[in-house]
Amino acid sequence: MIHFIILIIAIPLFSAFLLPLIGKLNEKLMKFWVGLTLLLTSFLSIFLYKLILEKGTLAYTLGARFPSLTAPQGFPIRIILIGDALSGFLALFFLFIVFLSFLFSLKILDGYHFLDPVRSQNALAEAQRKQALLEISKSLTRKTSNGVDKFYTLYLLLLVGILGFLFTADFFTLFVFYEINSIATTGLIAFFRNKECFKSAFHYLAVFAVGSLFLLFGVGLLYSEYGFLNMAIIAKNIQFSFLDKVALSFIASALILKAGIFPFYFWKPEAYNASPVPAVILSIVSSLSALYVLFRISFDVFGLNIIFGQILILFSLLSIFAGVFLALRENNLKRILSYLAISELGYVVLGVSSGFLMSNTESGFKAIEGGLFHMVNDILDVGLLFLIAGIILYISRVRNAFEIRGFARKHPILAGFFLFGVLAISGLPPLNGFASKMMIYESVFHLSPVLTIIAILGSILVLAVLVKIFASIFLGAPSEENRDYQVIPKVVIAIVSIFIILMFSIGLFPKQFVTSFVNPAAKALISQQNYINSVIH
Amino acid sequence: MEIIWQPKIALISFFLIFFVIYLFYLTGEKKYQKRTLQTVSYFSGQIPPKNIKLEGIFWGFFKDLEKIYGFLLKIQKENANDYIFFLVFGLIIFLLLLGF
Amino acid sequence: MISFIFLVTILLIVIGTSGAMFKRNLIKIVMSVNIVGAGVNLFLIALGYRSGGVAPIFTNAPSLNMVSPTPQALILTSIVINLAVTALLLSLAVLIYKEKEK
Repeated sequence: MIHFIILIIAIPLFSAFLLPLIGKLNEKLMKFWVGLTLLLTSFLSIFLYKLILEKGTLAYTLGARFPSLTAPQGFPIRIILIGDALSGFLALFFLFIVFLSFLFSLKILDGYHFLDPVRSQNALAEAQRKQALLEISKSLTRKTSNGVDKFYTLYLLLLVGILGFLFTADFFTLFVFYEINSIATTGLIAFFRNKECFKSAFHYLAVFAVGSLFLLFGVGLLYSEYGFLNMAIIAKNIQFSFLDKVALSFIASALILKAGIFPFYFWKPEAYNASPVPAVILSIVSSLSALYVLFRISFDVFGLNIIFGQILILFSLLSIFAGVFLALRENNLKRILSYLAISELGYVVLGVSSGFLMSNTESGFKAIEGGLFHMVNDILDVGLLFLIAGIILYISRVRNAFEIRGFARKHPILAGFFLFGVLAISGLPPLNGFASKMMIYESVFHLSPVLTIIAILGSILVLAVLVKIFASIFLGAPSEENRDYQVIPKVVIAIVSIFIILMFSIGLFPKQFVTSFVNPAAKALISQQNYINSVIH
Repeated sequence: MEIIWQPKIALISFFLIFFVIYLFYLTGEKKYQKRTLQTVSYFSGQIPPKNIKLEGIFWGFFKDLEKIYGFLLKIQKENANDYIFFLVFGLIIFLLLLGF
Repeated sequence: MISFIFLVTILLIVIGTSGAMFKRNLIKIVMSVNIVGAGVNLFLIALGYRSGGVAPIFTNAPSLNMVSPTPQALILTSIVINLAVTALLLSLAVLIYKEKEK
């Protein structure tokens, strides 16, 4: 039963390596194999979370029965995986979202919006355009149906990287999973093989290679001081000397680069524009797991340091502001939504780092709960907007989504769902954004009123950006040139409505959600002694 | 949040507001005449020029903040050199703020 | 003061990073990333040095004063990962060139 922690990482890895072989046999078998793997991993995470809630923090050693076995002096260098209430809760929720986006990718996985069909009013030119589009679509279908097994391989590898981030307790396995994440995401960015995507993938991998080498440098500095690589042992022996501060800044900047907050948010618009929509959702999930590792390091390993908390609050405010400020200027739908994703992550860091500064008070604990709650709401809201953007681009095959007018007259249900997403991101009741943002506003106010003012202003500007998108694409009379090239599959509408149902149920009953899921997670985060005791008895 | 939020009241008021909006919706016209002035955005009875679109709705905001936007968009060209420059820049900010 | 090898490490990292910041050619960016990798690997190996130590192999060892083998395991992993990243970067550079030619 205790082996669930290693199985939850090993099973997607094993099936990712078998996947290209199975893909050569039969395509339906391959999709069934991926679905089976994801279902199995989700059930494992449910059992693991129940086990963690019963027995407390679990520490699993690779290769021994408990961590300090067979060491005559000191503590041996071992690989340890630790699962506690926060990582169990996040793994459960993220696997659910990943499964839904896998179902989405079964039906909608094309890059037709990178082509630009020529517009004309003439009937003959219309017929020629249809013929040209049919030929292009045939050639693209050949390409993408050949590449679908590679997509699912990279998808499962990115899932392995995310789950590795959530359960690691060791700085070197952190580096290895960081690299797995970077390489898998690069493959997913370059999936539609045109020049724009290749350039985006190159720029992404160049900066992440340097970032991960900085992470290794910081880990090497920590190793040179303490002689151990294990997070719990370093947490026990740490004294906050000058080399420790240098190591913390290297490690934290590599993690913030992966998370995508100010000042390291610049890779996000290009990367999210070029990759397919299910890969974007997985990318947001990996940013959230990098934030989890950052919080784990700052609360439990390095202790509560005032200056670090103030730096994080400054970065979070600037990222809330920079996200909406730059989004107003853009003209591409997916890039605007990526800036909104940066802004929402700023709220998560604002909540948790305010709780960092106001530790041992009640409003501090509530701020941490609000930040962790907002992680869940962020992936639901931004994920819903990205799914609907993917559906719009799939149906209409335009490069610039703002040329479509009057989408709501043909698809009123999708317009209603988008409207609920807009209300949820801005934090209006009765949706889930209201609950978590209200917790953050109320508790951050006790630290300083200026933070609340800037956070509320950020929400209002988010609403301004989304009103512009909604009015351009959905309202008005349908233009004559744009027509539907595809039919929306029923499965896709079912997936989007599952998102809406979850948003409404979390929004209408936030108290039950917080006390059953977020409260044990926040309690497991802030107690450093608990974390150390799980490894050293 | 704990004092004010009751789920039953929120749900009932949500349905009430939706019902009122639905009553407003029923009093409208269902069909529209295509290719007349009904489908064009309102421009005081005239036909709007081709370069006025809805995504230019915040033009005054951009015109006032020209200098800031110009500066921000000038330093953010998207290639690998700028990305690594910003990475090192952020790292140095972190080192300066944290260490001294 | 800091011993000589750590200065060489910092020099390699600074050269590699500034090469990646200022060079426009894609191949030169890949080479700069490799130089940074070499610098970090050198830093990790130099941490394990004990003065007067021999290679950490037990059979027929001349003395029991050995250099630490843990960083050697770490940099083996790091070298392999850097190899994969270099291969991916170079293949992306070749594909960008091919798309540009059309």
